[in-house]
Amino acid sequence: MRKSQLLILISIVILLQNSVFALGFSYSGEINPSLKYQPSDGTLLELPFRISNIDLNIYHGNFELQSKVALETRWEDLDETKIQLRELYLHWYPKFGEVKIGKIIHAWGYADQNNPTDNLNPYNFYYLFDTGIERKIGSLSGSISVNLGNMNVEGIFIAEHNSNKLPYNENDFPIEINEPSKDAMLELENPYEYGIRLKHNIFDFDYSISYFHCYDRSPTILEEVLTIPPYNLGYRKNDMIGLDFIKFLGDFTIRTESAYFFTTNQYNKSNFSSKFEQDVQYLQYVIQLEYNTPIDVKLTTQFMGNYIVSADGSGFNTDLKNIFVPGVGVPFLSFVDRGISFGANVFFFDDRLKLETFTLFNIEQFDEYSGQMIALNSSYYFLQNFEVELSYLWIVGNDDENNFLTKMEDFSHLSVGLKYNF
Amino acid sequence: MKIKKILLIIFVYSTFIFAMSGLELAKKIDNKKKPKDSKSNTTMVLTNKSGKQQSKTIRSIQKDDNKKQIIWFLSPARDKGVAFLKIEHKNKDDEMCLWLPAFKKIRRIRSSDKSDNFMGSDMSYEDMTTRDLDEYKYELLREETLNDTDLYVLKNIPLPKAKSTYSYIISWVNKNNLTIVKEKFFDQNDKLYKIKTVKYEKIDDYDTPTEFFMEDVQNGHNTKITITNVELDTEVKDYLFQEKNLKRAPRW
Repeated sequence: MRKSQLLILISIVILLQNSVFALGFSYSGEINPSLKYQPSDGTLLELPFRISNIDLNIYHGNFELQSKVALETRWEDLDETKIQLRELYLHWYPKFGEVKIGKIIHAWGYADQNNPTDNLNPYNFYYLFDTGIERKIGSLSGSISVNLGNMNVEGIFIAEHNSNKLPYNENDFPIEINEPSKDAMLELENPYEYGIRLKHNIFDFDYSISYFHCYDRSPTILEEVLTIPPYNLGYRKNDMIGLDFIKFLGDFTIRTESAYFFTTNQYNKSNFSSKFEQDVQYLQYVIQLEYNTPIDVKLTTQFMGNYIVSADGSGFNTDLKNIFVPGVGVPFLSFVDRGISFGANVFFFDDRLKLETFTLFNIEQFDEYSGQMIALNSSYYFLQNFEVELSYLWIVGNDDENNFLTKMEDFSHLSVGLKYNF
Repeated sequence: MKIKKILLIIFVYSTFIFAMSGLELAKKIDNKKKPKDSKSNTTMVLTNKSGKQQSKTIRSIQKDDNKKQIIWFLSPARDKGVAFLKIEHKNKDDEMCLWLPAFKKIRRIRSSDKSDNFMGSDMSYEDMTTRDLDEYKYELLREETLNDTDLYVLKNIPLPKAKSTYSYIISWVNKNNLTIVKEKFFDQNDKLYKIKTVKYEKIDDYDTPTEFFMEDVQNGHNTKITITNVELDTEVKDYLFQEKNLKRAPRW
């Protein structure tokens, strides 16, 4: 008995020496309290925000356990502070490529911020005006990426369907969105999503071709019923074929991305319902041009659009083309058919001061002003890891009450924040 | 008249000999025994005109005379996790890309962005790139003695294919070990732009640079780079210089 105990103890020690003691650990993150004020009356916007983000990684050999945790709170209700596990996944780096499994935020596409081909994760609309992965919600998924010379092939499988997080019943969000009743939601039969992306580099030209099968990220009314409420909502099926590339032309960089979507109402009609048939094909595209000026000002412009190629449907009082809202793709293009943006950023004082400006014009109607969104951001590092942030978001619409930017006008705000990086 | 002719011939010949010697010297420097690969930690202290300082640290691995390089940013905290990969090619543009964890994306950057400063320091991407022997013209200007060290003074003139941001570079080369101890960089208007000084230590029988001081004389800014934890010839594999490794915490 003693011998077996000793054997177990020795085994544990060997195991610890070879695993736990050899484990690497790294962390990084930020504490970022911020306030958003409405410039019209100086009132505080009472919406949730992430006061802290922490990335924790544990690694051993070619394996990494990666996690991203956020602390989300509201100034009006600090007791309701929540811990969000935004990502937790195992990342393996074999010689042939990468393998990931867990709750993951993925990223596809060569363009910045607006990516028609990147529909792998839903968006959190509370953070829609943030950058990068801050806007996304992790999905339970797995991916495998294989390098073959100048080529890389990545396959992704998502085990569950996740929808966008919308600001339901929020007084300080200008567009009123009521949470649909659970009884009115149609269930997805096979909520699996999957995709493949092939990246290739040839003669200083990077391109990728992708395919993704998924469901809408926001619910749509899909059938009329005799109950109350008198309709059912669901998530339509989408198949996407994407193409994106990067090309360097002298001092310019071109990044383009396009995605062709096939959207169908795949639900079976029940005996007591009248189904809104939908069979829509549409194209979303982003053309991005970058230029670094000799005085180190980086200029970026993006032209983006949404074009409905065909829209066949039944059960609607009007042409489906006029009322169709994409359920995936670039969030901004769900509301506006065409937009052009201009951005510039510059650093001063050894990168301590960053100034950034971004203007997005709604150009749905070329001949009439349809509104714009202007963002001015600044950040200054006053100590090694401390940063003060000041930004202003100004949204201007027009006389059309249905214009997305007119609806969002009241979301214009001044934001003040302090950030500590660690 | 005869003396004038002789002096002219001597002058022409000496210029020719020195020009040849310049190339020969550049070849000798290029052929100097170098480690196959190296790993190190680097601390950069940036000082601006008013004396305000900030420091940054990186972990880097190089191979094939710096033609392959991977760098992980360790501090300041805001840059932690960002990583940079560079692979130089002979017959096509160099591959340069950044891993941006905030976007979870690998961003290809133009190799013609060579003039951009690396991490806000006074070192540009070009300064970190190995000079290809055939992309420069060389002139041996003179010989000097500085602090009891005998030096060659070599002028490096970039050819158009080098796509350099400099009009020329003057190098001071230690005669004893052929290490470059000082360089002056001149901008396209032939005005002095930067001055670099380098200190070396003998590690594993190689003259290894362990300290750089780069000063931008036009804006009064300078960067001191200290290299520590140097490991040489550790048989770094080629597959380390893959984009996927940018995403990993450095552990090599």
